[in-house]
Amino acid sequence: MTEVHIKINGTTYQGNVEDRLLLVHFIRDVAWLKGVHIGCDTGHCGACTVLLNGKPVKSCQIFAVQADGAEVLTVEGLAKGNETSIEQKAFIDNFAIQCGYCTSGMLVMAHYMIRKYPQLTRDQIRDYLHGNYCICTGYAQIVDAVEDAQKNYRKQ
Amino acid sequence: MYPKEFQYHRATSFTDLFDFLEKHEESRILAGGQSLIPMMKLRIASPRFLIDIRHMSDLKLIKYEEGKLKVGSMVTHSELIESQFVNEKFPLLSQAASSIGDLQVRTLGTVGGSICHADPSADYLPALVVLRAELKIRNRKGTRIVPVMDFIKGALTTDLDHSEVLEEVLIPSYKGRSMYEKFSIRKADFSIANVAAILDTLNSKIRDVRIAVGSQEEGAVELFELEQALNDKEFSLEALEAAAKEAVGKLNPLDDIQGSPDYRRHLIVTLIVRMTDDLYHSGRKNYD
Amino acid sequence: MQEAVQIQDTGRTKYMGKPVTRLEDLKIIRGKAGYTDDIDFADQHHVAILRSPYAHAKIIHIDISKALSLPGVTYVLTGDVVASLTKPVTSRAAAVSPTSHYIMASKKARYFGEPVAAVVAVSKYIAHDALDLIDVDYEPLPTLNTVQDALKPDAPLLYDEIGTNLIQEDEFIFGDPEKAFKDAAHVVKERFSTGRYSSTPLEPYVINAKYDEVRDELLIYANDQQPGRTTQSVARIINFPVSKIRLIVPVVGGGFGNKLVIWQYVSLIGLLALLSKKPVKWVQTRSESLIAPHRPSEYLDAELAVSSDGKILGMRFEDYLADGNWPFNTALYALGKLGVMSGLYNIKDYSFKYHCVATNEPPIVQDRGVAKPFMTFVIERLVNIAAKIVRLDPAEMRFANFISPKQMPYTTPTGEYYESGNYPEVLKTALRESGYPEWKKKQEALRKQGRYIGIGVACGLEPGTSSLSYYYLSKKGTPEFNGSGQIATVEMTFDGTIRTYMNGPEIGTGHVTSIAQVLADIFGLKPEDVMVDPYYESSVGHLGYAGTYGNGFQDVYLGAYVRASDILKSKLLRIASYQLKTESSNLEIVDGGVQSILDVKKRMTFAEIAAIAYNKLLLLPPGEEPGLKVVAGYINPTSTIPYRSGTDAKLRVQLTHSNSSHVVVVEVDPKTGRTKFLSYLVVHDAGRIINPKTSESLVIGCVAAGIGQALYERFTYDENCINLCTTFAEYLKPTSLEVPDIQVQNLETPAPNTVLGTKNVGEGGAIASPAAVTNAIEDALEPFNVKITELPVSPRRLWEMISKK
Repeated sequence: MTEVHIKINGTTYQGNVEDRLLLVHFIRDVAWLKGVHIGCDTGHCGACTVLLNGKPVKSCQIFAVQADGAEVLTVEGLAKGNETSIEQKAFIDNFAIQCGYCTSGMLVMAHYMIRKYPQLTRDQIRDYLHGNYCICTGYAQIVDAVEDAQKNYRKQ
Repeated sequence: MYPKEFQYHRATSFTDLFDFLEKHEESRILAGGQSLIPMMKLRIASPRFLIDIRHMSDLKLIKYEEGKLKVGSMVTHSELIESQFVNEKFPLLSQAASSIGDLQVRTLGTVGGSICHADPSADYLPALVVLRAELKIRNRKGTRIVPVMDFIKGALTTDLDHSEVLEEVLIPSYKGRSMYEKFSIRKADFSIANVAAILDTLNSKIRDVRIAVGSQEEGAVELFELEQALNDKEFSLEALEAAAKEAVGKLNPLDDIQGSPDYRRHLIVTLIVRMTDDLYHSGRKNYD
Repeated sequence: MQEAVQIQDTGRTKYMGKPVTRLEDLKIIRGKAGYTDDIDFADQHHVAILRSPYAHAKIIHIDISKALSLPGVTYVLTGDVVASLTKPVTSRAAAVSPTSHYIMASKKARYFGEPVAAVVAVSKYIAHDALDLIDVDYEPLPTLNTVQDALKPDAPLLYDEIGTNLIQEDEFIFGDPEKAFKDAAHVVKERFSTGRYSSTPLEPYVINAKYDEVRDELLIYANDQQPGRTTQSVARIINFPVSKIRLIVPVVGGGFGNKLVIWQYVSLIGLLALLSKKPVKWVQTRSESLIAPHRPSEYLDAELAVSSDGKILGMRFEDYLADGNWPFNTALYALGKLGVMSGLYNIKDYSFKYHCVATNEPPIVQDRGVAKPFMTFVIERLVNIAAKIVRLDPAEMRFANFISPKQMPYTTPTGEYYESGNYPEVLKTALRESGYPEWKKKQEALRKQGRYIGIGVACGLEPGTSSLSYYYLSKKGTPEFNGSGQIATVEMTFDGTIRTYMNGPEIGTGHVTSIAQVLADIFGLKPEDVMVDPYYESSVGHLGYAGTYGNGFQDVYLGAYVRASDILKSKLLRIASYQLKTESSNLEIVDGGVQSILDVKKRMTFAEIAAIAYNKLLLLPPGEEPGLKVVAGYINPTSTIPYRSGTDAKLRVQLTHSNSSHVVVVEVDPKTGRTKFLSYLVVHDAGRIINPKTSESLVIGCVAAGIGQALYERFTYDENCINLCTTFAEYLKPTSLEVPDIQVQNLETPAPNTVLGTKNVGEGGAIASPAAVTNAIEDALEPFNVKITELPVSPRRLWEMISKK
């Protein structure tokens, strides 16, 4: 067992956890933030994507102890109070959501992508999102949403 | 999927690392974890002790010294891709790094982790082979240098002793145009065929061509015979095809549900022909 | 029905038919969707399941002592205990059922991954540790990997008590196929086949159960697609009264049919809650989900009789299905074909024979469209092959054989009733919008440069509202269950809010929003002001087979909401009429109140009406019952009792019929076998559409699923019938790079037999897409004379076909 401190969406969560506890389980079961989902267990589907110190990672492919002292951003940290973020609004406006299980990871990726690479083409968006599976939508509207969010981010 | 219990330690220095490895026989080095952690979750690997070297700043540098690029083993694929210097001077390496997994995997996955995992279809291997890369390996007593060809001992096996750590990848500068191509069913999948090539020309003759093929039983293999057949000659598609077929016929490609050896050989020939044609006539081009 | 039509006709469809923003999304984007795994009980315990490493093996002995002594483990269950406490799983369609098949293997494991023991522990990690400590003695048996293996005369038996591995076979003859084949100028004969695949919803199975001593009930949360049946099935299997089971289905992270057999695990987890006396949660791992269940593998021998001018005269089909070991869904993929057997074509004479065989492959499950994508693949491939023989353009061949709009409503030889549709118009639109003739020209030009592009056309029928009647072709007696109707609960609360409950789970298809749109129009509200509880609860009114499946929502599920709303609305008008002393016929519902059309000052708000109905009872009209909660039901009027006589049958499997035409352009690299999409267009006619954006999104998602089936997804087994694709590294889902942009156009031919004129939208893209994609690939590779008869067609497979020529 190791004492771990992880700052998630601005709040520090502390837990005395088993060394083998995955970061995704720390977020879901210790910090009680259920927006992060597990879709595949092997690092393929991206439903568990969070930003770790500002960069996207699959939180089921890293142990909580490895993230001790780090800052994490999850889907719950995107909105400022009641105000939806640019990417959240774009996903709603573009009907980019069906069952919503992949959406948390997609939104975190969108949040990262539009800030880091604000001039992505449609093909590049598809390239950066291929580690995030969506079984429902067929991706087109998700790509639309990221394009839209990118446009609105640039306008800011 | 849930890994078995283990004890975790974050290495603070080389001494700390070597102490830990010596003390715990059933220990493993944890780099980016993008191969090891899934294996632990599937319980294919169950080390009782893990020492995390991802934070060791000594292992995170990208330097250019004495005509060589020196990439610290804990440099991530993303950091390598984002290095403008590497992109300009060693585009082959950037290209191979970009072919790995996806954005998230590249954030955590490290150059050293990938090399030491020694998956025969790994993207770096053929690129490092044609680049004639060497690996700087450290133990408590000092360092040794091993060519990458000698380091990989076969699928998932390397020359690394339990008391050692891969510190740096040393890559000499190269002349000419280079290209890495991978054929996989989807982009993030393991390659069915992957080829790295470097080629220069002088007076419209091929010079210093180097071609290495990955996804082989023994990892990556350089096709010296083929290189010999091409060097110092003008480009001829027919001759290239014939020589490539001849050379590839002797290879031992992996055999699994993604691709039979026959299909893989055919793909390798196709890649070699297209890449050589392209490198000879222009520069980088993507076939997908 | 009239009331609803009136809503349409008076133009009061402020929200129906409009791209209303999805109400579900406001929670999802904040990470607050509320899936089953997001809910924990106090003292939550966790379950892990030990699975057989063999596809066929006797279980000699299980030693659980080491597992039980692991700290944190509270209970371990084995198959023999399960067999002693529960009833076996039986078949819905087959006339015979094994008596030795339980929800956990006892004495014998029959597929790789079959549950053999389960552990309850204080954490999921410890539960999985305990699995490593259970010692099982197996005696491996020879495996039945294929239909041929299972039908060999000396083949080992999967179920000794049945005495054969051939579980079910049958034959149907419609019209006079003999004559059709005698008259034919050409006969096309092919064997078509498909591997096992599964839609793999991103959220795996999750079940959380506890026995509540105070309420004396088994409380279960599960992401179940057909909860109406689950409570009954669980009650039967574990011998627990159905009246004491409360099943709640939180928002579901995708279904696609795959969550229709979760009830067998609900039974297991429910049993574990009772035995361990702990609240127990099971979260399926992805490997477990990839092990089972799947759509079955099958091959179908098909013959098509064609006249010299391209008229289809008749068909003969003989179908062999490897239904795996699980008896429950046997024959589903054979019988399901009867609803779409003649597709969109005017064909009267055909026959169908099927053989369902037990193998050591895992259980089968419904998967998006069930039998329809493969049946459509067969027909649409046959039409293309025939078109080549009679030298017709594939599109022309289809126009020559379509059922014409003048023939509507059209009854097929199997009794299917096509209520409306204009198939030629849909295809015509698709050809025009996709630039079909231009692509054909381009194809010729590019071929000269050594580039191979192909244009694929496929048309598909997308039936909705499964009556489930095909199950009664092999079982005697009138149906004991039926999917042709549903009930719904609509109420007005104390404060005048319209509140309603799900009669089937919300699985991502936007039902919460659709219901809110319809109710908003009926009650003069905004959709966001209608309260739709996104969770399904078994204690709220629903029928026996309630669920989100079989493409029934737009018809009977929504129809029931309209029916209940109409009754509630009439009551509101009666109460207001009495108070306002105005004839009901002079009242209308406007902005959350009832007012006179003659004098707007004569108005009562919903809150005022609710106050009367719930509290000021003496102000109710004489004879009016208090309260404002309505449970009402609806049955699609075209449903009938299935009929069977000899080789003839009339079953009316499904009650609405959408259709679509797909035009796909691909480029194939013959050196590698890789297929690249250049263009994909779907023209879809699903009757009246409630939400065009949601509908479009469903069509695109379905096409993506079809692309997966056509090119990537297949469970591969080794010689011991071990599944080699147990992670997403081996089972390949299409990603954002494999699915192209897909254009969708809607035509609307209203259904005359549904409340709102709606048909169905949840499966369509998936039904015709495997056919469309493979038609395109074959067209691209025409110079290589490649013929595609097998799904999926991977780059390797394509290359093998090209290089053999």
